[in-house]
Amino acid sequence: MEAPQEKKPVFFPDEGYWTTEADGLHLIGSRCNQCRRDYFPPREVCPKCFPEGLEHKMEKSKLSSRGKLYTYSIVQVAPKRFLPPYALGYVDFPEGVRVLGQLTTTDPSQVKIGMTVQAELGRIAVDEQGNEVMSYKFRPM
Amino acid sequence: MRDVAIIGVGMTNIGKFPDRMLSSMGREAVIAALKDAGVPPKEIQAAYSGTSLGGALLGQRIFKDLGMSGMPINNMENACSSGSSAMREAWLSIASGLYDMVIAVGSEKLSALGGGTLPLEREDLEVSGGMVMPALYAMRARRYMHEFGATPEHLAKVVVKSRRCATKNPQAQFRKETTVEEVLNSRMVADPLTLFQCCPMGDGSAAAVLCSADKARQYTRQPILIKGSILVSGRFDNSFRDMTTPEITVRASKLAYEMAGIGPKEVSLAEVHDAFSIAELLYYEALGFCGRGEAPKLLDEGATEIGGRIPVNPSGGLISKGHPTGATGLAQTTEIVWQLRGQAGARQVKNAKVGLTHCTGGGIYGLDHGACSIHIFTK
Repeated sequence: MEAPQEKKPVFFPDEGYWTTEADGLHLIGSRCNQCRRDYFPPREVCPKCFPEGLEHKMEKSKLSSRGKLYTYSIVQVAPKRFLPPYALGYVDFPEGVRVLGQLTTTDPSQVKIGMTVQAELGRIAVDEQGNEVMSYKFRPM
Repeated sequence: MRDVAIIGVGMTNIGKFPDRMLSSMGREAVIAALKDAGVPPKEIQAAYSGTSLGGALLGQRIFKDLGMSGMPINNMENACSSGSSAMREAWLSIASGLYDMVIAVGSEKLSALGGGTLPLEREDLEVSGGMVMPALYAMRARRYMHEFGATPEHLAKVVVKSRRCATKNPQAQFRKETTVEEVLNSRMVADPLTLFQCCPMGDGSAAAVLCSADKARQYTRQPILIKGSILVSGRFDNSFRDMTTPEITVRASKLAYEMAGIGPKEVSLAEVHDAFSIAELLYYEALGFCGRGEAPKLLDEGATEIGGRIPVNPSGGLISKGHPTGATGLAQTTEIVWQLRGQAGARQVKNAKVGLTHCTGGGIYGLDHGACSIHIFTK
């Protein structure tokens, strides 16, 4: 008899998009060496300098592990793979980057615009094989 | 650039028609528009077909069975702006002097996709993380309520007005009146947006025949002139964009008003992209009908009702008339043309002289919306 297929967590987008340090999870983005702007997710081309025809290179950069919640919603109707209900929020990081991510709670009493949230790893979905999809999530502080 | 006129419009009913083929609905709208224009079909020199999810070569699938084949057929996709983008290219082809008479048609069959939210591009980072259109608008609503003190009741009132207008529109998907309580008690989709605050999934098609203005009077005593035709894409921003100011609409409307030589005060009525209740409020402000944070007050005053000073979505809008995505831009055009001609029956806006259609498309990371197309029409 065939052994049941082992379920393994998969990472999204992949583990290169974050680093875990003593103070928590830090998202890894890119910084333009010309205009010094930060971007997430990482990229090869600066959206500000490229259209201006400015020579530039994108360097690896690290975001703070905490940001401020700009807005959020608790989603009830969505594709099954995201296991609704789940909460989505836009988080503003001190580096001038805004990132969309799921929150670690769906309890509206715990969530407030302007609050500090901490990045951490957590399940955001399941894939077609039933494996857990792990990615960055934000925990209200 | 030459002046361009609309000489014929037509649309199907909007609703769920799982037994209708998409191309059949497209043909119905095309035949209606050609009949309304009173032109022999062989005079049409080119066609512009918009659909967001209707599949390859929809234009050819619509026109070949009418024997309208061999001409240039352009198939356009700009998500929910596909239809208005088709209109825009149709306008451009005549304004530039390339053609004298063309047809634009927008069609969609969302009932073919099963239920749930609109499927979005999975390659997009935010979509793969759980973003759905109701959530995007819900987050705008949450922020707007936080900044300006608007309440869930204000959002619900948009839907109450929408349904009331749609009771006068025999082609609308939802034609029954509703109450603030019923709207707020309907199923939660993405807080604070409840089911009634979301435009429905539906099917339908709409078409318009465009002609150079100097030829238009050969066909109709009531040509409707296109005074503004604008298409823009969303500006990429990875930083702290103000989500309560739809930058794509602000930018597109400035260009449209400039092109038409008018301001928001000269607009007699508007059909705007109310995909969700909050959207209509944001667009009152972005289109210049009132100041920042004043949208709930404008609605409360009755200013945007059919009898008000700036009627918005007399057709019932996307929320009640329906939103077969690729058809919407042309369905909005059809409504404005009927209104300017005085053919809008029970929902006629008095003294309609200048009409505006506003259509946005798509949600992808980094952009307010993917596309926005605005048209301004006059008698």
